[in-house]
Amino acid sequence: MEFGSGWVYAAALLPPIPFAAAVWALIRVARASDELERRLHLKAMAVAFPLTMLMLMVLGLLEVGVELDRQNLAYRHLWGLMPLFYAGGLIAARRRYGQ
Amino acid sequence: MTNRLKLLGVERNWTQQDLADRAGVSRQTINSIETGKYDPSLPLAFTLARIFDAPIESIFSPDT
Repeated sequence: MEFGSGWVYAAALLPPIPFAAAVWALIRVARASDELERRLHLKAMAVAFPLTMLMLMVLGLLEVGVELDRQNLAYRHLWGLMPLFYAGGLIAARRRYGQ
Repeated sequence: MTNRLKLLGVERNWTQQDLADRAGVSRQTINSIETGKYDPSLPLAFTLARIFDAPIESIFSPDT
């Protein structure tokens, strides 16, 4: 597959489709949730978002001073951290509220 | 905040699920309120007061 061919762009734009479906499902779950469940998810997001931003900032600052091996450490490696941080935040929030 | 939710539910032979269904919330939410881990919002507190036909102040009281 040569760089710049239309198929490369199409393949790159495919992942957002299931991601958008997941976001829509999350919105539907949030609408059906009661107030405590919404608070739990809000607290999980309050943990996940700043932690992910922190990782991005660290990587960005590293790039300024260090020659990074893009194959092993690039921004695309960080997106998977957000669900991990979200899960951790949700577990902590559930324990806080006795669930 | 302390509450008498569990006592009031037991008086009526209601399970947590029964109360949750009447209040339109999950059983876990009722459990968190009963154990004092979560303070309900004002609308939910009013709903619970209406369910038990009692004033809010008789169900919920501030920690002393």
